[in-house]
Amino acid sequence: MPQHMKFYEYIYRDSFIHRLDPRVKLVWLFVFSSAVFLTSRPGAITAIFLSCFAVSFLAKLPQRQIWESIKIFVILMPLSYVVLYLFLIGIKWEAVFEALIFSEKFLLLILASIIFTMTTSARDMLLSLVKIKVPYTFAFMLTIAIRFIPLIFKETNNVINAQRARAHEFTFSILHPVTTVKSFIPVIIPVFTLLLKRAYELSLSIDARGFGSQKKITYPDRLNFGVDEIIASLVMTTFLLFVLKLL
Amino acid sequence: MYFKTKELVTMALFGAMIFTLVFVLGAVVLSVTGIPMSAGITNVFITVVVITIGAKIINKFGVATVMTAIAGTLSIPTISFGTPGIYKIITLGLVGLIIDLAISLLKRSNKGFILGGLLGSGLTVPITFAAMILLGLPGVDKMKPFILMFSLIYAVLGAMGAWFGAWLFEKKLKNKAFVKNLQG
Repeated sequence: MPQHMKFYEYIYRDSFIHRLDPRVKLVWLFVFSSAVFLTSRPGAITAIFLSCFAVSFLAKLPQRQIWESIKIFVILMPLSYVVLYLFLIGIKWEAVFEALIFSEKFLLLILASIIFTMTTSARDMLLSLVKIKVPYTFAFMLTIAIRFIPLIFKETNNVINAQRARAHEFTFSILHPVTTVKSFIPVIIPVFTLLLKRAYELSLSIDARGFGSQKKITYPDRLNFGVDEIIASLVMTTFLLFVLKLL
Repeated sequence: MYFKTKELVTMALFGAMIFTLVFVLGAVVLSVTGIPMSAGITNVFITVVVITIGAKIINKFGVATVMTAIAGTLSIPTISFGTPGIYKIITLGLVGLIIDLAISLLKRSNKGFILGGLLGSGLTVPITFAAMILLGLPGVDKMKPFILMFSLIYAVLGAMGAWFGAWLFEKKLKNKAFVKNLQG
């Protein structure tokens, strides 16, 4: 498990981006995803890439953590897509170019979602999903799932380190799948045990707070569409028009 | 509500587990082999193992569909599960539904889980391929001759994953107190 991977983990900072209404950030994520798939021009993709970095700087996010989270993809994705495209299109420069563009698009999607989740707390995300009419139960599960991701990373790393301290040797071989699976059983069982215990405790805690006791769900007045949100929306629209012009 | 709170939380956990394992392990396998499809082959096994354990804990129809839909939603911005973007929810949800139907058809017996793993995983390839054609991804038609071969590999791995998941649950998890609490 990559130790520094911070996928779907909220990092608190006192920044303009953190304070923004999460619905604006959701729209930002959607605009980015659409813009990335609408264009194949290197100029437009570079512009989106730069704007993504600008947002991460504005949000005062730790750049090293972002790099640690995406570096495995920066190395692997272009490589694997080049192999795939050479197979699909044939051994041509065009295939390499297409593969690089495609992998850069996916990298951008990963980067944008990392920035979104690093700047939006689970509670705000749940509220914004409900406000945009996602069914409450699904939004609730999705928010809980997002909160579980860093925990799964952490617990798995802890169990792996604990088993290593007991001199357990891990084998990873595609050619010997049975040996590989057998060597991972001492990790799988404790990880399941720890996480299922956590899930049970969490459900008890949620029930104790009266979850599902009322038919009508009420929300704290947390979301606020003010001047900052209007400015951010204007900037996003201008940027989208700029990117569309570059198409 | 059809699902209790503890069931909702467990399904969320299993959805997150599918996403995390597939996302990280896919990258690890890809880095070892360098072959794009190799990650999918490992992932199909892991996904079915996790789905089987989750569906064994929560004895209700729709568990596999919900877990796969959550995993699909979480992996929208990643390269996992083949199809790009929001289409992952549809393709993965369909696979989950097939598994759910097979499990219900054989009254949640181990044979039902194995059949579910076999059908769900085997059909992943044509479903993903159909989605890729609909999306107009370049060069997809060149993968046509490999669909049957990959479907068979995926189906066998899915059945093995279901068997392993059922074995893991029956032998190592079934009698634990927290599992009984989650089931009760």
